[in-house]
This record gives sequence, C-alpha cells and structure tokens, in this order.
Amino acid sequence: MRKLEILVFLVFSFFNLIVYAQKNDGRTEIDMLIGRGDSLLRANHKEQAFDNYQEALTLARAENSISALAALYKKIGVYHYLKKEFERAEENYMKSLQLDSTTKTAADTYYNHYLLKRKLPKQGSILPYLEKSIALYKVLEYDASTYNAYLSAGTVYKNNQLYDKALELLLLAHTGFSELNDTRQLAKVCSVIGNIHNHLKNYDQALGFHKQALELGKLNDVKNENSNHYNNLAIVYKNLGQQDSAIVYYNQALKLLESDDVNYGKILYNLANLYKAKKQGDLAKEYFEASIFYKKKKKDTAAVMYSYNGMADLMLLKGDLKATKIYLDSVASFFPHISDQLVLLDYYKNQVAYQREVGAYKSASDYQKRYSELFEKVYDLERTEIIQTMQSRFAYEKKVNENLQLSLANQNNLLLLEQQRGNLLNKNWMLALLGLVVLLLAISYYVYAQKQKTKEQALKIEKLEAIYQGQETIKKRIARDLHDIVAANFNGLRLKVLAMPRASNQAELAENIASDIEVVNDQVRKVSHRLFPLEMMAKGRPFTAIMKSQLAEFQLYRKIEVQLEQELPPVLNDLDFEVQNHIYSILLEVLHNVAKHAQATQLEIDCELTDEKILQFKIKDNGMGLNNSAKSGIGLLNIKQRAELLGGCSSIQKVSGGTEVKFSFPI
Amino acid sequence: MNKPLKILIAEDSVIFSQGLQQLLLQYPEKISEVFVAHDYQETLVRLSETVIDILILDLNFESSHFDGFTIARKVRENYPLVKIIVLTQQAKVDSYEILFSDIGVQGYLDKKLGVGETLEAIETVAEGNTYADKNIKAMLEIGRWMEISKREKEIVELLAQGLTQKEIANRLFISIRTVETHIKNCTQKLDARNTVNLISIYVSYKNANREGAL
Repeated sequence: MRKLEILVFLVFSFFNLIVYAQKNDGRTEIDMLIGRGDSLLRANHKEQAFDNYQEALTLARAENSISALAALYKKIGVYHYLKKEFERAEENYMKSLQLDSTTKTAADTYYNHYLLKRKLPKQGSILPYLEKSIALYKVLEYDASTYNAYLSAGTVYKNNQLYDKALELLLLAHTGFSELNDTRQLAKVCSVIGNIHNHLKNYDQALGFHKQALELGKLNDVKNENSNHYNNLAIVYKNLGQQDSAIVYYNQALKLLESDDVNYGKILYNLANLYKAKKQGDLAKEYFEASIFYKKKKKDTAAVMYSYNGMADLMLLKGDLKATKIYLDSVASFFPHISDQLVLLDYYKNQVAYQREVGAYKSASDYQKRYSELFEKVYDLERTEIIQTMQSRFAYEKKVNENLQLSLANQNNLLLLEQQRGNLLNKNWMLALLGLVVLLLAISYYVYAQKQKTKEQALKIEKLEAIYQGQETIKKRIARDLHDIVAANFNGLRLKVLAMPRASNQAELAENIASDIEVVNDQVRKVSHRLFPLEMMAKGRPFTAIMKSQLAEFQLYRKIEVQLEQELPPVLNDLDFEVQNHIYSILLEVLHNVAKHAQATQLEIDCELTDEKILQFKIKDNGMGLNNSAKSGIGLLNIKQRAELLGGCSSIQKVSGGTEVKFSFPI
Repeated sequence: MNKPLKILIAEDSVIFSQGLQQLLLQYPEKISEVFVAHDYQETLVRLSETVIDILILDLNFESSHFDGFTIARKVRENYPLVKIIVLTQQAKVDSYEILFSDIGVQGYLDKKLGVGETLEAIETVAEGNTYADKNIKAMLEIGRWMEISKREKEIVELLAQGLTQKEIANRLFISIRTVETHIKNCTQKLDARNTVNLISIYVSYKNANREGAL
C-alpha cells in the first residue's frame, strides 16, 4: 500500500516534470528566436531577423503567450520602421498595443509609434503617442529607455515652446542619465535645457548647461555633437551681445564639422550675421557667400533663402540697391517651394526697407502690412504669453534662489553671531576667571593681614603678659611689704607698749614708739603710692602743681635740693589720668630711690616735649650711684613696667657725678 | 588764755580721733571738752547741739559724698564763729591756698604733728590768729623757689655774695641787660618789693634749708 503510494507520487512527479520541460522548451525557443532576431537586426540583417521574428510569432501564437506576441508585433513594427515601411510598421504597433497597453513593451511601442509618426508628414498628431509612452514610463521601473523617452519628449515640448513640460521631463532625464553615467545622452539633455534657457533669456543658466554639455561631449568625442555644443554657446554669447566670444565659438563649431554637414552653411551664415552686426561688411559678405555655396551644395533651400535675406540686408546697408534687388528676387523665386515663414518674414522686412530706399512708399507700406500680419501669425500672442509667464517664473525662481542665498548668508551671519557669542562667553569666562583671581588675591591678602594681625596681637599679648607678670611680681612684693609692716612692725610696737608700764624711762620709750610709728606710717604711704599714687591728690588740681608739690615735699623732708631745669610742659595737665598716674608713680619711685640709696644732695629734673610729640623725662642726682640691690629691686621694675605701659621705654645708668634715670613715651 | 576751749574732732578714723582726743584731754587747763564726729552729718549735729570753739577737721573721708572741703565750707557758712583747723595726712601747697584764701580756715596741720605743735596751733587760732604748719610754710617757700630757674637762682646767689650786676654779667658772660631781666623776673615771682628784699628772702630760704647740703 505504502509502496503503491510512493510509486503513484513518483509517476505523477515525473509526468509533471515532462510537461513543465515541454512548456519551458516552448518559451525558451521563443526567447531564443527573439534574441537571435534582435542580434540580426542590430547587425542590419533585417530579413533574417524578420524570419526569426515570424518563427517566434508562430510559436507564440501556439503558446498563446500574449506578452510574447505583444513584444513580437512591436519588434516586427521596428523592422518595418527601419525598412521605412511606415504604414505596415504602424499596423504592427497597433496590434502590439491592442494586446498589451500597460507594460514596458507598451511604453516602448508607444514611443516607437511616436518616432514613426514623426517620420510621417502629419506633424500635429505626434504628441499624444509620446505622452502615452511617457505616462507608462512614469509608472514603470525607470531605465535608459525611460530617460530617452523623456529626452525626446522634452525636445518635442521645447520645439512646441511648451518649456514648462519640457523642463520637467528634461530634468528627470538629466537625473536619470547622471545616475546611469551615460555622458553622451546627458550632454544632449544639457544641450536642450541650455537651449530652453536661451529662449527664456536666462543666459547665465543657458551658458552653464551648454558648457556642461560641451564638457560631457568632449568625453565622447562625437564631432558633430560637440560642434553643436559650440554652436549653442556661440548663440548664447551672441544673445548676450558678446560678439567676439560668439565668433570664437562659431569657429570652434565650424572646425569640428565636415564641409558637407548640413550645419556647415548655417554656421557660416551665423558668422556672416555677426560680422554684419559688427559692421565688418566685407567679411560678412564673404561668409554669406560661403554659406550660400555650402547650402546650395546640400540643396537646403530654406537655408539658402536665409542667406539670401542676409545678403539683401547687407547690401541694403551698403547702399547697393541693385545687388539688394537681385538677392530679394532670388528669395522670391524660391517661394513656391518653401514653407518657412521666418524666411518670408525676413523677406518682407527687407522689402520694406528696400522699397523705402527706392522711394516706392506704397509698396513699402504694402510689405509692411504683410510683414505685420505674418509676424502676428508666427509669434502668436498665446505663445508670447507662455514665454512671458515662464520668464516671470524663472525670475521668481531666481528670486527664490537669491532668497536662498540670502538665507544662507543669514545663516552664516548667525553662525558668526554664534561664534561671537561664544567669544563673548569666553570673554565672560575670562572675566569670571579674572574676578576669581582678584577674589583669591583679596582673600589671601585678607588672610595675610589677619595673620599679621594675629602675629601683632600675639606680640601684644606677649608684651601684656610680660607686663602682667611684672605687675604680679610687684603685687607680690607689695603684699610681702604690707605683711612685713603689719606683722613685724606692729607686733614689735605692741611688745614695746606692753613693756611700758614696767619701764623706768617711760617718756623715752613713748618717744621711741611714736618715732617707730612714724616710720611705719611712711612705709605704708609708700606702698599705697606704689599701688595708686595719685588717688589722694587729684581733686581737680593741675598735674604740674601736684608734681611740684611732691618735689617741694621731697626737698623739705629729704633735704635734697630739687632743681627744675625748665618749667614743666603744660601738656602734662592735658594727659589722661592713667598716664599722669604712671608718670607720677615713676617720679615717686625715682625720688624714693634717690632718698634711700644715692646719698645725693641735688636732684635735677628736666622734662621736655619734642617736636615728634615725645615726652622725655631726665632725672639726675649727684649721688653715689646705684647699688646692685637697687638695680634688681621692685622700684626699678616698677619704673620699667610703667614706662612700657605708656608705650615708651626707660633707662637707668651711672653718669659722671651721679645717676640718671630717663624715660620717654609718645603722647 | 581765758576759758577752756570746747573742741570737736571731725575724723572718720576712730583710732586717730580717739588718740587725738586722749592727747587733748591731757591739757584740761586749756581744753575743757573734746567731742568726736565721724562724718558730715554727725559734725553738723554736734555743732547744732553744742557751742564749739574749734573744729579740728580731717580733709579725707572714706566717702565720695563729702570731704573736708565740703564740711569746712558748710561750717564756715553756718557757724562763722567756729574756728577751723584742718588736719591732713599730707600737707599740700595748693590745698593750703584754697583753705586759707577761698574757704577761710584758721589753721593747717600735718597729721604727723607733735603735741607741742598741736597745742600751739590751738592756742594761736583761739587767739584769733591763723596758724600754718611750719613744714607747709617751708614747702610753700620751696614751691616758689622751684619756679626760679637755675640761671636766676645763680644770679640771686651772686647778688647775695655782694657782686654788682655788672660783675655778675662779666662772671656769667652775659649782658647787664640780661642780668637785669633775670633779677626783675625773680622779684616778681617771689613777690619781693625790690632787689634788697629779694636777697633777704633768698637768704632766709637758704637758711631754712641749711640743714640740707644746699
């Protein structure tokens, strides 16, 4: 059962394979035949190609393959087209299109049909075929044939002055050929676009495209095409009024052409016209004659007539009426054979001028009338309007371009502004940095100042501590003195008093006790003075009076003559009480020392205020000088301490004939 | 000496006032009663209760509200007949002037007084005269001489030795005119009537201080 199944499957598969192979063989044969036909056609073996196509057609009919049939009808059409059997070609194209009107084949066929129609005399009806082809190409995948169609269509539109449509297609073709890197076709596209711009008087753009076309043309080195590019450039330069440039390019164009080329005579004619415009009549005449010669050779009647017209105009300018008449008559003789209305227009114009010259004003006005009518016909208003619209549109585009450029410039400016802002920001940063530096400096200065201050304060504190220590020493001494006075002296006195009742010499003892008490009294007073000497005396009296009073007392009790070297400065009376107290204390200390240790009889006191506002005291005795105990005693320490508290200094030294104490301080 | 005197001691030190009181009471033929007051109010109360002949007044009190000067002024104002002897811890030249000229006290004594001096002062004042401690007098003198410059003193000394002004000028290498100016200034400062008086004041000053090595 299973084996049977496999067998059936295998048999079925095999059968299918055979059928497929047969089918495949049919298709392959058609394709092969078509391919062979195409090659033969390209090799210009038209009949053999036709045979191959016929064979393929038979097979395709048998296969009933519509696409193949459509393609074959198209190809047979091409065969007839090439054989210039245009009606049969059209027949085949129609058959192809009936079978297939939507594929690439159809598009190609439409295009071919257009090409065919172009060859037929009924010119007006070619566009629909081309447009159908293009409509199909637009929806299909783009390839070279698409762009060729666009190029053709663009050219046709251009010739019909439908510049709008023409440019649209040509620009698409331009892009397409650029992508395909087909420089030759691209050159053609550029050339046509350049022509359009020339017509629209966008000469700069026209020059741009023509130059591009020339560059591309040089890559392919097809002489007559390059000649055409030069020719186009020359035309633009002529339109720009740059006649010399135009002449150069025309000559370039001429060089590339064989003298039997259709354009040869035309270029000569153009050169002649240029020379005519440049008022180089002889050269112009030469070129006109040459152009007539070559044109006649090519039997290009219309072109010859252009040249005749040119010659007629030239002769007219030269005032050679006879020659003018001859050329005009020559033009007239060709009229029955040509349909070029521009020739006629030129002829009418020349006739008007000629008739005027010869004085036949009626004829002149006649020609003028005919000229005007024809002019209107040729340049019909509608077309003029289209041209104007296009021109304005290009002007608009130009403006848009300008706007774009302006906006670019604007953007540049913005960038610049941004940069400047950046710079400004940098500047701000610099400023901030500078500020920071200044701040740091200020801080470090402040810290430094604080440190200095701290140092100074430390020094001050040290000094104050030293003073305090000194004061402590003094206080200790005073405490000890007080204790001695009270404990020793009073206890001694107490014992003396207790001894009195039993004493034999009571009166003497009483005297003795009284004298002792007086000593104690002095001692206590001294201690009191040391602590705060001025307290008891102040009472609003002048300080100098207090000092003098003290000195008088000193002289009286100590029997030492005091001599003031000069009147005490009155500024002493204006000092702070504290300061006066210190001065007084030092004075008392010195007096005490002199009385106790010096054995002096005279004391000279000099007090002076210097110009630098320093108060200087000099107290000199005529005694025996200081002994060591005095030097290290509390008295001198007291002097030193108080001088320092006054912010000054003191010195005690032995001088010739005594001791001198000096102290000074600023006030 | 008529009748024994009634004396009031105004002094905040109890011990001193008692000591002085004891001392004074040793002389009953001269002093009949001795009262003690320790402050301003007690003094005035005592004065209003008792007729006092002499007020012995301390200048220094342990109070910031009053001192000897305040009391002296008040007493002088209210009891002009009461004689005042000022006692002071330390005799001062300028207090002397205030007390005698300004307030009008009759006596001025140092606390380091002896018995004799004290009695002498009391007697002098009681008789209607003024008494000043001899030390105070001496100090007054010294104070005045302290105003005299060294050069002035030198010139007066030479005058006292009998030199003429011209001789002095030659001796000191100064002009007679300068000598004259010095003498004139000296005369003014010491309230001397003339040069002779100036010399006499100087000699007595010198004698007073002779004990020293002047």
